[in-house]
Amino acid sequence: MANLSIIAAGPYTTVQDSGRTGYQAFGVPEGGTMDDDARICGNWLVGNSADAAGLEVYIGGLHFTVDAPLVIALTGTPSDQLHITSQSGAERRIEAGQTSQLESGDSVFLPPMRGSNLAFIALSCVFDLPAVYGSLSTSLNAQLGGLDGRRLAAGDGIKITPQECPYQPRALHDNANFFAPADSLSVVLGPQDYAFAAEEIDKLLSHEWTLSPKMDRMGIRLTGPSIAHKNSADILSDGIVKGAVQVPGDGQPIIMMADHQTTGGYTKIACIISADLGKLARLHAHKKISLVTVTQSEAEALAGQHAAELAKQQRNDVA
Amino acid sequence: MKPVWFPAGDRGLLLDLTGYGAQLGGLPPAEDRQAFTRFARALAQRIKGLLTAGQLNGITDLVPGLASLLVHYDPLQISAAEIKKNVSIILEAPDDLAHTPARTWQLPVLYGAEAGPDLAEVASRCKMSEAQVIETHATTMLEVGIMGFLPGLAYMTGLHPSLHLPRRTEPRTHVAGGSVAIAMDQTVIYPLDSPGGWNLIGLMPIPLFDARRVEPVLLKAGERVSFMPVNAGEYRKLQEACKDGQLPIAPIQAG
Repeated sequence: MANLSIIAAGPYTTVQDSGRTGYQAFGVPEGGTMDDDARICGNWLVGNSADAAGLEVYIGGLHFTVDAPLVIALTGTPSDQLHITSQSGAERRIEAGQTSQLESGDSVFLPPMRGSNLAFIALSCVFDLPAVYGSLSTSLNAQLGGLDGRRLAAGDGIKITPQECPYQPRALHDNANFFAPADSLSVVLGPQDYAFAAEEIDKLLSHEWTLSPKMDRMGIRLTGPSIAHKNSADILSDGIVKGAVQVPGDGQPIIMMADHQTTGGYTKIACIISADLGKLARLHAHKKISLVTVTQSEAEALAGQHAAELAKQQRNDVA
Repeated sequence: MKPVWFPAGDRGLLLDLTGYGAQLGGLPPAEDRQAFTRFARALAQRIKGLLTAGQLNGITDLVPGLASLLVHYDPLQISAAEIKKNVSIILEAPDDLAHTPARTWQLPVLYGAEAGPDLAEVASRCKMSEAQVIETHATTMLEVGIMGFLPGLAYMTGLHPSLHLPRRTEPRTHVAGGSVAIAMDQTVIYPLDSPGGWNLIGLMPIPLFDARRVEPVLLKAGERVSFMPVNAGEYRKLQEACKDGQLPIAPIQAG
């Protein structure tokens, strides 16, 4: 048993794993990492299973110490670095996308990030926190999972059990390109695109959209031209997928993210394809994006290609 | 009307049971909705049966809506086309989609005063006394239509027509967890403190969700619910009894 002690948590740091699957009919949100690419890559680097829990950090500002040797990696950003200080005061910097061995007493600091809006810190340990429906993911709106269902804060301590495996240095195949910021995302129209006239759907696809700073783990608001409904924004409540682009009465789209509610009563004009959800999660507020359509079967093929690219990132063992 | 499939990205497929979405962009009449909701739940059960039997793979979650079923799937394991093919076979055999038996609950409620700040207004708008509102609300058997929004939140349909009111025009920024609220033909109980626009008539002391319980979620879609008025002393006793994750009540009828 060992400890991870939070010195500073930054504005929005939570414990996240792959989330809760199969309980949405009870109103239990999926949760899980906003950027699954970062989680899968990070866990591979430190020798964890792909669905293991780590720290999801918005913006940066996380500072913590550990009292046991651990392997660490920062993922989800093309360019940022972890600043590590040993007990003796020696400093070193670790690039995103590669591993480092922490010694007992080391402190780790993630300064405000430039390459991404959020990142994942993987550690070769198990967090000793109670699982809810099989997951440690923190859901702030449902107040469950993680550490008492809340964001981490200065002074928090998390008990951890380090994995017992020899240190094996690893690096992602091409971190800088794989996590480079996107300026275009693909969507599949529907399930309620019929609620909009053709010229309103054209608006969605032909204008640039700006990511509003009003973003959190539940959703990301887009600002741009107002999209009008044929009749009404209301539908009989139905299920929601991560990535659904909901258009409420004010005509400004909201993309439902990891902590989205399980059901809702607003029209959803389109859904971001699964291969692009990580890219979206990494974009900073005020960034401009455009949306392009693909069919559902094209999106399924792109999901397959994306899985292959992820696998490619995970094959380049450093000697 | 024939159910219609709509894509929900490459990880979701929505079956609109009304067929209204595609043809009218409108809503089915209120009297049809309970039947659509029951059908959605029964269809989810049938598909679960196929998953358990190993006849279908790659479906990650099934979420019944008020008149739809959302099939969450893993595109690396199955395609939307394959799901449509498999589910269409079930849709053509509707005999198997009969209503399944479900548990019946009688939930304790502290009605009125500070526990239900809108009770007096509801009574005056419905032209009834407060006691009549309580009597009518408590004794009408409701059905959990769907679960959603937050863990444990049940949308209970079948509210007595004499109590049908719209939502409040000014939603409250803070509604206490446990609040029993009515609007339209439904009753909900807020699982947690949250904003809300429904008419608050009472408080229910048993948490709808408690991760420490064997079954963390109290109510499930399809179950039947009526209410039992309790006084402040009984309310506090029941609330106290739940403190350590215990459940001091049981269904009055097993499923």
